[in-house]
Amino acid sequence: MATEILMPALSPTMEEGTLAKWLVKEGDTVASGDILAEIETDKATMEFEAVDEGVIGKILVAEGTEGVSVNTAIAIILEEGESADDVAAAPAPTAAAPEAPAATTQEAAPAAPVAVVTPAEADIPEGTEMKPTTVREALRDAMAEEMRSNEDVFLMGEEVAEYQGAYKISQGLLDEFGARRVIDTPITEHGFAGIGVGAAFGGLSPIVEFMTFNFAMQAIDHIINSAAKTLYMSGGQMGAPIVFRGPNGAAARVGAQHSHDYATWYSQVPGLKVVMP
Amino acid sequence: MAAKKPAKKANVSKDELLQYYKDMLLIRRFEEKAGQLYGMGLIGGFCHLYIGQEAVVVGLEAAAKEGDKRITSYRDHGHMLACGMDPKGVMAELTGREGGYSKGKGGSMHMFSKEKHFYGGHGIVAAQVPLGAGLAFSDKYKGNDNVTFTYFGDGAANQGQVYEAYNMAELWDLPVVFVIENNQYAMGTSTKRSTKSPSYWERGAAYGIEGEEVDGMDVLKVKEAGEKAVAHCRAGKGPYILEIKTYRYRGHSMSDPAKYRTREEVQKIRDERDPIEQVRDMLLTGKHASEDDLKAIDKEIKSVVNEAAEFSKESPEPGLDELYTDIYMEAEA
Repeated sequence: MATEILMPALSPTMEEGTLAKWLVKEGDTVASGDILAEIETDKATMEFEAVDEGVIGKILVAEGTEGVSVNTAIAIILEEGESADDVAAAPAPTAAAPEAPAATTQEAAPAAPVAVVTPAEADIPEGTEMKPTTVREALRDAMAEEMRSNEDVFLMGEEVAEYQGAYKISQGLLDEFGARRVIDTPITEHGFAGIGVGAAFGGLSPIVEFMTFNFAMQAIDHIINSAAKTLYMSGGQMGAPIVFRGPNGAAARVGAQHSHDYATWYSQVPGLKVVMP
Repeated sequence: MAAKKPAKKANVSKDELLQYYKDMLLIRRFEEKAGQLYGMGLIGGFCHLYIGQEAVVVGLEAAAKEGDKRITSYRDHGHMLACGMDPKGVMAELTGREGGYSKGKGGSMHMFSKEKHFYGGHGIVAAQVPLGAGLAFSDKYKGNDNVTFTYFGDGAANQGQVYEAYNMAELWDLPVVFVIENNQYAMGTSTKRSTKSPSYWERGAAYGIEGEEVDGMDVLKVKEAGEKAVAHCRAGKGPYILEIKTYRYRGHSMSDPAKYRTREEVQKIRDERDPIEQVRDMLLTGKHASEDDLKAIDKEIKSVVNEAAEFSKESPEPGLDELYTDIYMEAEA
């Protein structure tokens, strides 16, 4: 029986992607593990491997196609003895199938009374020029802007530099600012949070990234006892001008250790300011 | 009372010796006074005295230069006096007064002086270790040759964050001297009861950090080791560990009856290894000072300490409105 190859989800947040390049053509024999195509997700270009073996019978989505939804059939693999003509006669691939129940859920949700919260327009000065961007890019641009205007601002955390950010927030910062100011750390939250606070005591303005705020639980002592309380305990003589940043709160299908919302916890602590988009 | 071993012909001038004597004596008399004020109810909360450990900070300060930083735990009065902070401001902080270094809002464990590059005074055991590595990070980032002395005790040496800091300090060649003040007791738990790896400095080897053990009752040996450590850091070779063997004569804090060790143990160290008596002996036998000279120094120091005590009683208590200030930075106008 012919097997459909479906557009894969290559990151937890990917809903669609670009089929950048096919590395096989119709008639090629493929084995499990062979690279079939390059697919661009919202964060990176990834290689896509074959799971099943057989012969590429038909390519359904041409390379260069953008906006291919996850789970769309993109090609068909034939078993021995099958021909591409048999497949052509078969009913069209039903990529839409999983969408049906999802759509129902979405319609059901707003049935409950929902107060539609519109952003406080008053906070935006009149005449402000608006520009479409993603939250990811906005965060990156904000950091880059601060780093350009203040030599004492630097970024440290896990995978912030060479990997370009676990969630790609720091994409491009290493190239622009170099390894002195964009610093990969070992996986050691307690330690590097403390080093960040110490650097702030020493007159720098660090940005410390946690891959998620769940991991910052290892570092919460430095966030609260070392950073937040020092300005008060020194009678205003010195504090810790530092930004701890990272994703916080609900995340899809990653379990309770990766989806806790700590905003209210930290909001209780004098000396901390909590900002959550 | 004198040190048993004859002091080796140390490469030290009369003036230096006299200075160490004065600096150590100031700490001891200050701490004795603090203990007295505590007993009178003028100092409240926690109060951890440094008596017995004076040679550690005085020796290391002798190896420091202007711009070097220091950070320590809650047993911090000695460090502050040794780096030149004003005894009045320190004592007034102990009594929780407006004239204290933290306006009475820090107390015994939390004082700071940007001017003297003293970064606290930290109450969470071992938290100051990554903080100290971070101070060293700031100097390396700025490209100067300053060094940070990061003090912690044998108790803190068992905390995980010490080793996280070791790893990054060596990875990034941070100019930090990790100073383990091993006074043999973490509160009431002796080193024997807390680890089977009691040679703390050797643990640095796991991270590629050099170090050594130092006799912390001999101020000249501490200074010598400090100079070596500081030269290592200033040369860009990364961190260095000094495990300084010392001893605290008093309890962990004021409320500690010290039942975990014998009176004889304490007395023997006082009699045979006291850091101040050792220098006093050197001054007298080397004919650098007469008994009368030393008496005059004692008198001078007593008056400094008494003035500090008077100031700490007269300075007003902070107003209630101070509860609500210094929590956030005021936005610059």
